[in-house]
Amino acid sequence: MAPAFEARGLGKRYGRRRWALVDVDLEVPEGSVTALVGPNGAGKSTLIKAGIGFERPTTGRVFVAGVDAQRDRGGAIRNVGYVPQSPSLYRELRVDEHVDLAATLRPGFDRTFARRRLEDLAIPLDARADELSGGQQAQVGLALALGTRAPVLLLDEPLASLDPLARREFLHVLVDAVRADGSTALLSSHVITDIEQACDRLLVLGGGRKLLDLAISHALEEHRVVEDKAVVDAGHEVVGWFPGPLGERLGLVRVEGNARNGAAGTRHATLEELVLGHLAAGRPDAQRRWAA
Amino acid sequence: MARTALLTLRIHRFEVFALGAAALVTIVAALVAAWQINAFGLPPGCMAEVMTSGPVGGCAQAWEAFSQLVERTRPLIAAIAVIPLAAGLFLGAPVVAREIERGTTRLAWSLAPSRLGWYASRILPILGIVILLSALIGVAADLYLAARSPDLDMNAAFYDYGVRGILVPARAALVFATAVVAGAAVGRLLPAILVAGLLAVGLFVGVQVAHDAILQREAIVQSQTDYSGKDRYVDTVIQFPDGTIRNIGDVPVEYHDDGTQSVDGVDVLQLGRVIPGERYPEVAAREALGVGILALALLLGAAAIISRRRPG
Repeated sequence: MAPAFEARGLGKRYGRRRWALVDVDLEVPEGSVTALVGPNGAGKSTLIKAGIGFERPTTGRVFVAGVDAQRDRGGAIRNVGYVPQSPSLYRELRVDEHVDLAATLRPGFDRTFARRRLEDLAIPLDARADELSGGQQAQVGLALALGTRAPVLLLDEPLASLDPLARREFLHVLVDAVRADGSTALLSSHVITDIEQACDRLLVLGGGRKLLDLAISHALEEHRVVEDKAVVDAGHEVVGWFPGPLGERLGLVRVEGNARNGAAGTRHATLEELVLGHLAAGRPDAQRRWAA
Repeated sequence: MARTALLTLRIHRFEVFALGAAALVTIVAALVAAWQINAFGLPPGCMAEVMTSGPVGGCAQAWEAFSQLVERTRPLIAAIAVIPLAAGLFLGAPVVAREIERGTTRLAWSLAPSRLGWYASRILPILGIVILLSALIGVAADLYLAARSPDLDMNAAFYDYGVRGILVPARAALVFATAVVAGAAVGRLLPAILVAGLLAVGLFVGVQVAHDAILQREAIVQSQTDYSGKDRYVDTVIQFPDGTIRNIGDVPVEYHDDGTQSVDGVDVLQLGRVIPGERYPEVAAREALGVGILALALLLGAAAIISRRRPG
C-alpha cells in the first residue's frame, strides 16, 4: 500500500543558490496525523506546496496517495484537501457561496458535509468572508478542505494567526474529521504545544533537511533531557544542546533499553524540548554556543 | 454552469456593475440621440445642398438647427470609442491578477483538479459580458452615426471606421484578452492594468499596420476628384502618360500654378488609391476576424501561463 504522502530525494532551489529543501526522503503513513515542525525557512511550506503541485521540485518527486504531484497534478489534487496559511477566502462571497464555489470546482465535493460542519460551529452561512473572525475564516477553509472528502489533508500553518482557543477548536475539528474518515493529515505548525494532543507523528525539518521523523510517543520514549553535561555518559547519544526557558543549557539525549525508564541525571523530554534539541542539532552555530 | 457564472460575476460585481452601467447609459444615450436626430427630419436634399453649394433658404435654417442638435450629442462619440475598451481593460485585468494578488488562487487551484477549468469558469462569463455590452454599443453607434449622416448608407462607407459595428466588440475582446494575459503574467492588478494598456496600444498599432499593408494591395486607383468621403483613402500615386503608376514618394513631383503636376518635365496625373465604401462590411468583418483570432491566441497564452505559475 502506497504511503499517503511520500517524498523521494526531494529538493527545491529558489534562484541559483537558495535551497529550500535538500534531498528529503519521507513517508507519511496512511491514517496518521503528522505534525510538520521547523523554523521559518525550514522548507515546511515548500514541502506541502510540492504535494499539491504549487511548487515544482528541482530534484526528486512527491507522491500523494501514490500519485506523482508533478507529472499528474490534477490526479494529486483529487487526493488532497488543502488549507493554506491564510484562509484565502473571497471577500466578496458569503460562506455558503464558498461552499457552492468549491462544489463547482471540485467534482464530488460534499456540499452537505461542509455545510453541516460550518453549522455545527455556528458559523453564519450568510455572512461575507470579510465579516468573519480569523478563527472562523480558518474553520471555513478547513470545512472546504474536508468537504473534498480527500484521503490526504495538507495544512500549511493554518494555526499561525489564530488565538489559543481558535487553535484548539481548529485542531479538535481536524482530528475528529480525520479519525472519522480514516484520512491522513500533514499539518505544519510553529505551535508545538497544540500539536502534541492532535498529532501522532512528528516530522522536523531544519535548513531544508529532515531532522526527525518518528511517532510522537516513540520519539518521547527514546529521548531524555539532561541539565548537567557531566551526567552524559557513554550510553547516551547527545542529539543537541539548546537553551532552556531561563537560558540554562539543556541537552537532548537519545537513550535505549533500560535507560528509557530513567537514566540518572536525566528527565523526560517534552515535545517542545524534543523539537528544540533536533533543531539545535541541525545548527552548528547553536551547538558551538550551547555545548561549550 | 449557470451557478459558476453567477459566482464569477459576484466576485467581480463592482467592475461589472460600474462598467455595465456606463455601457448601458452610453447605449441608451446613443439610441435616444439617434431617435432625436431622425425625428428632426432634415428636409430631403438639404444635406446634398450643404455638401455642394452650401445651404440656402429653408435648408439653411434647418441645417443650423440640425447642426446644433448633432453638436450637442458629440460627447457620445468619445463614450462610444472609450467605454468598450475600458470594459475590456478593467474587466479583463482583475480576472486573474486580483485572485493571484489576494491569494484566492491558493484556495481555487487546490480545489480544481484542472486549472484550465477554473480559468474557463472565470473568463467566459466576463468575456461574454464584454462582448455583449460592446456589441450593443457597436449597434447603437451604427444607428447614431447613421442618423448624423442622413444621406449616407453607413453600410457602404468607411465613416467613423472602428467605432461602430462589429469592430467594437472585436477590439474590446482584444483589450480584454491583453488584460487577462498581463494579469496572469504580472499577478498584480495595478501593474497588470498599466502593462495591458501599453500592450493594447502596441497591438492596435500592429494590427493597423498589418491591415493597411493588406489594403495597400487591394486599393484601386481613381481620380482624386472622384474621391468621396465614404471611401477609405489609402495613399496618393502618380500616373505617367504611358499609364505607369508610381508612389508619390518615389518620384520628384513638381506642382504648377495652374494645378497640373510634372515629373522631370513630363506631365503626370496625381491620383488616389482607395478602398471603395461598398467594401466596408467585408473589410470591417475581416479586421474583426483577425482581431478576434489575436484575442483568442492571447487567451490561450494566458492559459499556458496559468497552468505553470505559482498561485501567489
